[in-house]
Amino acid sequence: MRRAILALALATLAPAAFAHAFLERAEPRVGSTVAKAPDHVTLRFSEALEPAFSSVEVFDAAGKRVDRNDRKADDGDKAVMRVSVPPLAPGKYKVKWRALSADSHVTRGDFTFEVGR
Amino acid sequence: MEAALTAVRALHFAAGVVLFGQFAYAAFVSPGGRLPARFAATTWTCLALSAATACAWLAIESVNMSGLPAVEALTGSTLGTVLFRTQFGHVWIARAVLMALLCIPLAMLGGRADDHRSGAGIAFGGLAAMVLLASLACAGHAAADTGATRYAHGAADALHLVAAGAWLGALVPFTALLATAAGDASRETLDRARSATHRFSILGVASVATLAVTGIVNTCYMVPDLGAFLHSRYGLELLAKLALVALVVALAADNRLRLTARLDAGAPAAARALLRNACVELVLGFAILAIVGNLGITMPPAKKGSDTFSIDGSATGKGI
Repeated sequence: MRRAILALALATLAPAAFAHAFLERAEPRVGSTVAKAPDHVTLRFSEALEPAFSSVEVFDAAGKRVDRNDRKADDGDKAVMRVSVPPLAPGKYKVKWRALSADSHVTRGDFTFEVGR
Repeated sequence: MEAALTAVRALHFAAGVVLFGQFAYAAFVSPGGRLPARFAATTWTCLALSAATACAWLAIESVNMSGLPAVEALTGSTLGTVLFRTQFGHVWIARAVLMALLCIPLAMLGGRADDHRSGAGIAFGGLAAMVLLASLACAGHAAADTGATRYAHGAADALHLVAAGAWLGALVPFTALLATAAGDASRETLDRARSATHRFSILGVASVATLAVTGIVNTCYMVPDLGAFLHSRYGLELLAKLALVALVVALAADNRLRLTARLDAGAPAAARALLRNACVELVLGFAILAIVGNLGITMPPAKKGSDTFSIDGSATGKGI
């Protein structure tokens, strides 16, 4: 029993909160070159997001917005946000995001990826 | 905007603490379970201040969350989105209901300071004031956690708030009682001061123990890297808070170990010394709340390896 309580305590104490949502992982990866154009741009953050005030937008090299503006949060994981994109031509793309974490802190960022020829 | 939010948060915390403290004092400290002096005026004022600062907090968050200019952020549409489509908004709606419910026991208790039938009102009002204070944990850093962490961190945060509220909040009417005792050396007044001092001392020890345990748990969640912690603004603010807490605990220890014994021996000067310490503790306590007002909106140090992004910054790392 004592071991179970200790294990539970350690399991819940282990992860630390950072209070602001940081981008942990992106698909396509940050700065990467992908051979096949993606259907979606998916972002995973360090914290649960508030979908109502979080956004992700994709721009081409000319600065024109190319995503389908259908950004949505993952139903099962509040830390994930994705937006779909039409078939992307080879070239560089910029992803701009704004994340509002559930404790009402705002973070912003951007990164690029490239679709290869 | 940050200064305004810090001030609003600190005022909101202070109002909630003093409100809950009135009930904690009546339940655990007051001789004969009587309501503290000026109970009605204090509690109604704190409730009104809580409501006003909650509205101001909501308005500031609406601007912050939406990223819109104030003129657009303070429209019904944006405020409605904040209230009905964010966790902060849901918590605020629940807390508004609690504030409305609190009006019932406050109206029941009124100014009847010595009414024996006030027990139910104190219990009901005390519970509502406690939940109102504890629910601020749902709007703090713990709210962004996920899974079991969210509940463990939230519970520690809520307990921390309640313990701080019981101690600092009850200190306000206790200080008023000491002020009466210091100016009136009658046997009856000194007896009341002695009784209240012993009870407050027990409440203080229980609160400090709870604050220490929950404070350590909270720090474990918020500070993953000691080196980064010591070089962060969050770390410096937390250390300043801990320094003030240490001073308050030192004064409380002086009250318990030295001055309480002198008061028991019948020395009227002890009441004056206790009053002096209590006044300093109050000033330090509200200074701590001012720091807490800013800590909640200050970014804690990030873990190692998560520095490729910053607030309003761009990604610099690759392969994330």
